[in-house]
Amino acid sequence: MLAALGVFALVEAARLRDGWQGARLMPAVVGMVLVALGIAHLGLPAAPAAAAVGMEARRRVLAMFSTLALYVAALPVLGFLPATALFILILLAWLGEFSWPVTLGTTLVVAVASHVLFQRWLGMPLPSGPFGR
Amino acid sequence: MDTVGLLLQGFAQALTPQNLLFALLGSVLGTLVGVLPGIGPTSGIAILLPLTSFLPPTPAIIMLAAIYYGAMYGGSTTAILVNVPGEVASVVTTMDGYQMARQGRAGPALAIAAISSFVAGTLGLVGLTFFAPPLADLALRIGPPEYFGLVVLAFSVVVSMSGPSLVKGLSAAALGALVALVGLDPMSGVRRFTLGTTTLLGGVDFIAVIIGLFAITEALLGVEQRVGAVALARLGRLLPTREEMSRCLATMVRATGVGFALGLLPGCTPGAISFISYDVERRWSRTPERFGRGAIEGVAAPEGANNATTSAGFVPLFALGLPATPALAVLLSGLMIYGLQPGPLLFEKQAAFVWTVIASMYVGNVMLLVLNLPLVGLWAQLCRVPYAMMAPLILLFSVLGAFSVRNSLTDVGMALVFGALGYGMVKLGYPTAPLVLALILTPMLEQALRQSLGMSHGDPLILVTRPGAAVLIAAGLTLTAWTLIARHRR
Amino acid sequence: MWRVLFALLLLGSTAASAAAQPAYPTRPIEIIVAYAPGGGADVAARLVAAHAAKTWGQPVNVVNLPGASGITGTLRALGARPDGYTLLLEPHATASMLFAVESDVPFKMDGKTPIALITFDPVVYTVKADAPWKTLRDVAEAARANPKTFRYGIAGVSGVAAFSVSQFLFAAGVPIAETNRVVFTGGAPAVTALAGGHVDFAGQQWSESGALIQGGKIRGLAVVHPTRLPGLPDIPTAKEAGFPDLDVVGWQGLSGPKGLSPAVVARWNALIQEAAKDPAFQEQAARVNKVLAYRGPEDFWKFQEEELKKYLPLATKMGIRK
Repeated sequence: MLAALGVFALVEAARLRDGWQGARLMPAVVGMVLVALGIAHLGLPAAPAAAAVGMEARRRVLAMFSTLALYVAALPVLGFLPATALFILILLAWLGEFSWPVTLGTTLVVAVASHVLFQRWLGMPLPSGPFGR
Repeated sequence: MDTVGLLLQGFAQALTPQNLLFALLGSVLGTLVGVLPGIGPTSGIAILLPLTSFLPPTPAIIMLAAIYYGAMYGGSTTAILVNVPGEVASVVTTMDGYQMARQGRAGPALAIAAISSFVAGTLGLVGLTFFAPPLADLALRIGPPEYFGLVVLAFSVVVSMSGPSLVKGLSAAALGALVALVGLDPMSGVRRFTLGTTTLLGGVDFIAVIIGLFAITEALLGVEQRVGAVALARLGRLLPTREEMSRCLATMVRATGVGFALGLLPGCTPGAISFISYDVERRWSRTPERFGRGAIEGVAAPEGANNATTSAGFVPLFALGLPATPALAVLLSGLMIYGLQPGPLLFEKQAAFVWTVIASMYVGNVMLLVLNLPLVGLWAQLCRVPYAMMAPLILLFSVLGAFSVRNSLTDVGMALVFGALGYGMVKLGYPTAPLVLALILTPMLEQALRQSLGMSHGDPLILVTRPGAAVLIAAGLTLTAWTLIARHRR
Repeated sequence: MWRVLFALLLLGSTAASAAAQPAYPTRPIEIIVAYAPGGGADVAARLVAAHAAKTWGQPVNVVNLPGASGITGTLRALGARPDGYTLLLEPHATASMLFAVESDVPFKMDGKTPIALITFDPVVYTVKADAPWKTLRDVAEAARANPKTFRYGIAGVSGVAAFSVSQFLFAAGVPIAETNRVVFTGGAPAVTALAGGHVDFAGQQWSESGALIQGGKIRGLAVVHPTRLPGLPDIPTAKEAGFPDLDVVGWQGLSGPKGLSPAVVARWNALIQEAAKDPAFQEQAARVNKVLAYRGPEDFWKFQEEELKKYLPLATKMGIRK
């Protein structure tokens, strides 16, 4: 952890070449603070075993995060409606122990409703993917 | 003074069925929009502005103002229920509000938010009604050096929010400060920390960070711990107890004071103000340990401060034509298209119009209370929805919210990054509040500092030679020292 | 089931595009504003959008894509399909002024199809209402005499005010390096600071200064415009005030991605010209403190080129060119 902070500090120390005193001021200050804090970390008690989180729990978290990340990545490729539907479907099926009709039904409702609300009604320029507007 | 008379006339106008209807509509729409994370008052007003274009001026303005208030309120609903702040100002509400929800006390949390908002908003409006022009002039005297002092004062809150480990708290803050500096420097246009990409050129957006840090982190934690639903305890009563209410009364007044005073200053964001109000409340309390674990005052204070700030924001808007926040800027352009020429002449030349609008804002506040209190029960039920269903929805809205700020997927990516970061931070014992606060305050600090130096040709003494600035800085340093000592004693 | 849906969708969109043969527009248009809502560019966009929507019966939505001093939004607009349904509201800041200051912009100045210039937002030089200076010459003298205590506020290092104030200071023979420049993030904070006495002088646009002038908090000393502004009849023009060579002006226009069809350009030009003659539109523009100033596509482009020629040396002299 402290290594990370130290690195950060060095990063902006390098960046200090940006412009002149005006724009350099804050980054310099923050940089110095970060270095100081990085050093201060050495005085901390050893990190508490990150609250004994089981492997299974970790895997769940990772799974959810990756699903989310994939969804976001898929948005420009598949377009809002399909990607969202897929996303909701996967999560519901995995997380909830609902029957298939409920899962599918909810997915459809949520995906379509959000499409109508956000894309049509509010006019947000969400990616449309290959299936047209 | 004629003011009361004019106000009454304004009420007469505001209470016509047509205007009432639009106030209602605006409140509802505003609340709905505010509930959606990321779509705060600014986007809400911008989106709904075209809808008002086919209305005659008075109802249109009434609707716009109602939307604004509604949006400010809506943000707190999700903050309490699912730890997703609807906009920056609601971040602080999550701290105690969400905890209350987990304890099954979502009802009282939501209720107190509504009540506090109403009380503070109305009191703030009173201030607006009677004191607008002189207050506006006073606000003008606050210049960059004084702002600097103010921000220094606000930074003292960081120390008190640091939780058990000062080093970790400060590190979080420093991280927040660093993030705040990414992008194009607004004053000199120099690129900072953009690593040569155009995506980072626009800097990191608050809302994306907040959505990531709060909504996504919370969802990840929820999955990790296999929570059944948000409420971990049985749903208790829907309204606060009498005793809680009486405690909060004083809170509300204090919050109004803080919120209104600071809200007068153009450039002092509601986010920072809600933090300050929360901190004030905590220091004042005889049992500060309750804060952060579901203290009802912890919800009443920021919510009240928010609405007081909203009301206060109208002072420079009407009296000087200066919007204090981006949302008000959109409102202003809407107002101008309808023929409202803000400025001191406003009260003279278009008195009837102005007073109708102000009267309808009072009405709007009442309406929000009336609308939302009964709904509290309904909203609270959401806490019982199985998490399996809530989590995907929360994530979906997080994505939408992050996207909607600047219509960019990059922000969504940013939210993801901060979601992961937040998870890591929670697991390793780093408090997230200082990060957010630093994110908000650092740009203000930097601007104020550099502008002050610009005024004095680089001489830093300007910060202490001006009385206002000197006082504020001294106060900030004292407060920080005091907090540090208090922590040491523990 | 999906295949049926897909087929239907395909059929639907083909039908729609077949129907797109009749007059443009046949579906909602998007005007991108690369700034946050409420600013000068945004206001101009909404003004035009409302009128267009009314005239053509199709929604014209203003989409705000703020960030990076307007570069983000501009990039997006210029990279869109040139079918006339995504346009850019182009202000001076992302056209001539940007290219005068930055040598490394991610898009080319001519990488677009100019449609028309719509509004001017003239510069008004202002001082605090109770300041001792009653004319621009007074300010010039004071600045020359005491540059070290002369403070001026501008919005952004490469915005209108940066150019307008520097142009004035150069013309007045003031040693700029010794003066105090305070940079604000927008027009509103800059004029607010002026009204509060934290700076002595400002040169922002009409739409930014108007409210405070009318409110009596700040005083306008001159407007940069060939004639006095109807909304500010008591303020002399720069020429009348003794500085005939000042010519910095803010403006807003409409442009589209490169390759836009001339038919679309023509339709918009017709609309804007007609709007300029519509009294209701004129009134609305005046209310938001904009001067209607129409120029057709070729003139618009020439105008921008001339501006660039004007600003480039100024930027270099001021030392803000990167």
